[in-house]
Amino acid sequence: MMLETFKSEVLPLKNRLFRFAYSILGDHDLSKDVVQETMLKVWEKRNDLLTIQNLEAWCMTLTRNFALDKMRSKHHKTMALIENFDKENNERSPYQLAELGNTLEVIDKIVGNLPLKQNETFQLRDIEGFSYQEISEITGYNINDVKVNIFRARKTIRTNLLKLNSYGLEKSKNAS
Amino acid sequence: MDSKKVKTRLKKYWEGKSNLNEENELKSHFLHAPDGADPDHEYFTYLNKKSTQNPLDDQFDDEILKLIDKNKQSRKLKNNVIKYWYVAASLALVISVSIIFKDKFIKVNKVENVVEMDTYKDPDKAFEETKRALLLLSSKLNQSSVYAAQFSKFEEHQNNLKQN
Repeated sequence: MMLETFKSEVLPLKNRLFRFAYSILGDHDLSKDVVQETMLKVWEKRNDLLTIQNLEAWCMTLTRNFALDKMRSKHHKTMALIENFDKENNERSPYQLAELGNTLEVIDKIVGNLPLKQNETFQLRDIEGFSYQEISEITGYNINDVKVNIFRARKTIRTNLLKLNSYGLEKSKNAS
Repeated sequence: MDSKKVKTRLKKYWEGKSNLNEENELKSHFLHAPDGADPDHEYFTYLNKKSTQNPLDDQFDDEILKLIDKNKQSRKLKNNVIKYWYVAASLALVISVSIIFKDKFIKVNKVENVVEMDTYKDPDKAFEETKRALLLLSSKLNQSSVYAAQFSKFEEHQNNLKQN
């Protein structure tokens, strides 16, 4: 791979890679480091790129691996996400949700508190628009697992949003 | 997209049965729909906002390109150092091999020189010299046999004393 190809095909992926790393780490600087490491790795492996079918998915896999390594080595705060792998119910009370801020911030918090599997599969599908097959390749989970985790993530977010919505309606009724 | 279609798509979406195209249509619909306070609208607004967030700018590209350039230079330097090591090792090998060969060659020459010095070209002269050397050797041997006889006498007397 020539430098020009790297500039036109790999560098433009930086923000997608960053968003994915950030969804795992929740830290701007660490996520930036992860993207940097990914880019350098791609450059290092530039001669092997002909054998890679989906460059974008491969870059995502590298980003995921670097982010998980960072998370483990630094005992990052999101380590809690791994511990909560089987945590099914992270619903909050409408009052707690309303305390978190505006709706977009609330969704951000809910997504941030999802178990790791749900978080990354949701991020890859609903934010980055990858197919189930690609998500399976990136994460190493089987397709059914990917589908189930996305479904659960969406369900958790929706349930919390509906609660928040009904709480808001109730509040406005009481006020009038 | 009409409201009925949106409802159907949303139902499919929340049931986890929608495909990528349908999901993109929903995102696109809510991107252009007027602001609303319903949870679906807020949810898809969130997705649209998140997927267009670009926290890394051109400065990041420059940093990466600088790092790549630095990487290239350090690799070049490393390659050069390796090359120099190869050259130095080859030179050392050549020098040590030449020293070994030189030593062997000199030794052989020395031996050849000694042989040449001691060789008489005239066979008669050589015969006379050999004869002289052998006579000298035999006379010295005769002298030593006299001393040896004295030793045997000494041993004989010693044995006699022991017996008495």
